Amino acid sequence: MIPNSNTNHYLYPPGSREKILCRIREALRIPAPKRHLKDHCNLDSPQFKYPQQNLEHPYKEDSESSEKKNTKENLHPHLSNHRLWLPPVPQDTPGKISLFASLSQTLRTNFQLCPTYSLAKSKLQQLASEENWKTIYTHSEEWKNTLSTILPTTNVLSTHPHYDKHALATADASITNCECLIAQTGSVLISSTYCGGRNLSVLPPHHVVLAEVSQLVGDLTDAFLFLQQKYGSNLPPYISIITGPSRTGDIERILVLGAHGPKKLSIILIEENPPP
Amino acid sequence: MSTNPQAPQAPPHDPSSNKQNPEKLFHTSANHITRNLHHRSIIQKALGGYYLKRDEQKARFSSWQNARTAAASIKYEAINHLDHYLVQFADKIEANGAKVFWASDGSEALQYILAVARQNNVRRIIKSKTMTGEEIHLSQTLANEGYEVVESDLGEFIVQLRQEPPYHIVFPAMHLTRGEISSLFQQKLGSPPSNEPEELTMIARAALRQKYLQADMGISGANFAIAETGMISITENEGNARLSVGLPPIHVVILGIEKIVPRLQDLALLLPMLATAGAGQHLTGYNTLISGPRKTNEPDGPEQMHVILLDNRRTTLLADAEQRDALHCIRCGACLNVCPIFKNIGGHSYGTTYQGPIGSVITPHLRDLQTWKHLSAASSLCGACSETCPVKIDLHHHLLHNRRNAYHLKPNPLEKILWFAFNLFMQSPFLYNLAAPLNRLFTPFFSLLRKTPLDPIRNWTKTRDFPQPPPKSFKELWRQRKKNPPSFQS
Amino acid sequence: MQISLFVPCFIDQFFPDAALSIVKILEKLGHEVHYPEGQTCCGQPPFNSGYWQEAKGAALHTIRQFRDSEFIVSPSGSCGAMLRVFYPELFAGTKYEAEARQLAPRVWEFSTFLVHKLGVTDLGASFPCRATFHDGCHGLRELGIKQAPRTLLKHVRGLQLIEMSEAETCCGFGGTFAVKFPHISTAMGEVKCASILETSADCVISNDASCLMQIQGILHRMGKLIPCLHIAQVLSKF
Ligand code: SF4
Repeated sequence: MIPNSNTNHYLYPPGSREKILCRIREALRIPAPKRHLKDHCNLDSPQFKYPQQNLEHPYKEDSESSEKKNTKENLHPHLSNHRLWLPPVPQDTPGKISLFASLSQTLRTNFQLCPTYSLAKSKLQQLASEENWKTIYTHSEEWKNTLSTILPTTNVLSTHPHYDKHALATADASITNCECLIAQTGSVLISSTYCGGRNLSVLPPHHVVLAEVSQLVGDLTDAFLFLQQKYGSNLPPYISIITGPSRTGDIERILVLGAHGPKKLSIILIEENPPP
Repeated sequence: MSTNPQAPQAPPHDPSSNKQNPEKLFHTSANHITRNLHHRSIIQKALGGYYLKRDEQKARFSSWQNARTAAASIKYEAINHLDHYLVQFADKIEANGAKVFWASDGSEALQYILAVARQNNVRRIIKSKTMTGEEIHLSQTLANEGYEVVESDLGEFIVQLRQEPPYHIVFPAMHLTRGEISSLFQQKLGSPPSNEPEELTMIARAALRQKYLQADMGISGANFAIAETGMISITENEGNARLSVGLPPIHVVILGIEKIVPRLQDLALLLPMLATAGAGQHLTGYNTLISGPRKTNEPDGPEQMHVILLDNRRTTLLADAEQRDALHCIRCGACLNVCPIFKNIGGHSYGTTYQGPIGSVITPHLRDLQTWKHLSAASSLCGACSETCPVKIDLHHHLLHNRRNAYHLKPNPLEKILWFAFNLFMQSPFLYNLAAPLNRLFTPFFSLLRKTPLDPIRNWTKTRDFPQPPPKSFKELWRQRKKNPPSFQS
Repeated sequence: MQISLFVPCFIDQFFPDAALSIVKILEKLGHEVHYPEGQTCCGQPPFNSGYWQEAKGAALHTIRQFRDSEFIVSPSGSCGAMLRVFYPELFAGTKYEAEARQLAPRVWEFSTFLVHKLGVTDLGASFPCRATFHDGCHGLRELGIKQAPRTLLKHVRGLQLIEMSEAETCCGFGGTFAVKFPHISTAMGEVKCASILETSADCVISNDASCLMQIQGILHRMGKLIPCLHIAQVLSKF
């Protein structure tokens, strides 16, 4: 933990919290014009106007609303606003799945829709034999046991409760669950407490995600709501929204996969409810 | 493609060590690079693909324009209640076990980071991209103190090897060709030559793998700080930031105080917008939210997390209500990508941490108005930046405001007299009416001076033809017309 | 109706043809053109250079010239923007603010005035050529003009409009910027001219004469004698 007063506290400079806050308060005494709401001059279509309603954030309410019940309405009265402007997402599940699938394709995510659990198993076995997995990691003992039976020739290890980072770095793949999948952006949302830590999904060269259709949510708004409903104000300390395999365009803006993180991201979405 | 001998040369790494006047440097470098056609074509090619992808992504939005207004409203709310949200953020993240340090300026921040490093016997540091770190010369300072500092973002890694500052706040190495990068890697890493971006990327990947695992400290920036939940949010594509902050036992994050947003839900709007404006993606590869060091129910994570909130004259900008919206910036780099000035003079000519329109607007505030006013003058005020900015910062008007402020405080005597005379002249229709005959009178004389240093409009005629004045000005034609109105045909 | 013409100094001195074409067009449409002869310059050069104090005299002079005009039409988007957008800002907090604000909504750029105020899209002009159109930045971004000039050009007989790549990129003129930073300005102009030449158009049309001066200056220096015309000049070929 952080060295505190009983050790060498004096080595740390004190910081300027009050000075900075004082400067901020002084600066904010003059209100800023709302330049972003300025009427846009548009001679080309004189009728044109930005809709003025709903744009101001109703932040007037207190910030203690988290104490209230964690229902959608109580948490964020202004939620619907963002949705009005963002890319539209189908309401129904098949629509969400097909949006997710098409985005996965652009992202070069290997997306597999499996109607049943047994099909998902064979997909995993196929991946394991194609890539000749020797060692893989997963996030829990339970999954470790299940995966060991599915993949008999692979050494399955778990990051729970501890693991060696050097060993993880040499693993062939990682297989994890996720908090949710996000249709609007084709993303996977993982958290460190639920999905095996901070590095499991980024260190090995291939990250495989197993998810059920019920975990597919519409957009980021829904994903954050899901987290806030699941954890209340006690959110996991590390959340990552993963959109496609690791990528870079730093050399001549040409897309290359696998810059530092996984070169490959596979998402296996299972339509069936879990076996009891 | 091979290394081109006329590849743009960057100024020396540490601008503060350079005693020359920034305005002179700017002129020299800009004049040099604008004539470099190789540079021009690299940048045009690199950005061509960006425009296509960005437009594609924008079109997916139900209303990109309204999304901009909404995003700007979020940042307006945050910046105009900065004291409230900063305290909320700091309290929340401290409650989660992180240590928050408020730094008035760069040297306070550096001292703190050095103290953390000394206290914990740090030797190796892995760094993911942070422009705020660049702003306070973090890497150089740590390296000078004897620490091994490795940049992990591929672009930053490349410019670090070249001992150059980043060329662009989002694409640090966009001015280099694969040939140049290949020979750089050959020289510095001893790797075989390659013409494939993919192979070159893998060389860097291999070179950095062990660095993540060996590092004693990881340093990152943050794109957002969420007051409601006490989280920082890091946006990246490569995964290098996740590795840099997830593996080493200490995580230091440095961020400007303006990075605050009020609520977690605000990211539902801002993350897609950042990705769209920044690189034409619907969402950036990894968006990671971190609210503290390792907890007992986690298998991994740093033991310590230090959050440095940096002011460094941001409060000076905050105090200018007119330009306060410049603090809304989410550093997406979109304004650079569309700026015709940036595309022609290149990122290094600016001589600043933040290039392009946003850099020209904020540098005079973050450093000094009179020394950096030339950046605001070097613009045609075309407004492409303001039009593209996802948080609707009125960038090109702020360039105008900077000009006004600079010359109000310290006018250039010659220009002042010139404009004073101009003003008098233009208030008098009598004097103005003399312009046309005078123009005709002097034109033949001036034509003789063309191509000589005596030409009063040499700055124009050196590279461009000047129109011949017509036989009569409109006013004269109008009077003539009034005397004998044309008979209406048809 | 009576329409007041605002002819910026620049067009008055170098491109009288453009302004004259507007007079012809408006008269053909049966309107009375009023040209306050005392007008000079809108004050944009000192304003854009940062010398706001020195811009106020000329600006006020212009405001007074058009005090009683109902519609003020300008052949330049840039100067139109000065009157419409920047005067209120220039005089903000002074006793002239009300006058400036009162002037602003009466100011129109020529092509939008035809299309949106007069509802005219076809002037019966014919001008056979392959043309490309450059959007002046101030017209485009301060006044939001994009479609009106294209609508008008579409109805010109024989004119084939070829859009250049990056039509919305600045030509690099920028007023005093062009002489303060000649290299940057020229480089920007060269990029612009490259996209113009790419279209192999035989005529460049714009709604801002200052852009045309820059584009023409560079094209001619390159030895490409492509005519650069103000949109009014094309529309008045009836
Ligand atoms: S000013 Fe706007 S466009 Fe430029 S980097 Fe900042 S947010 Fe992006």
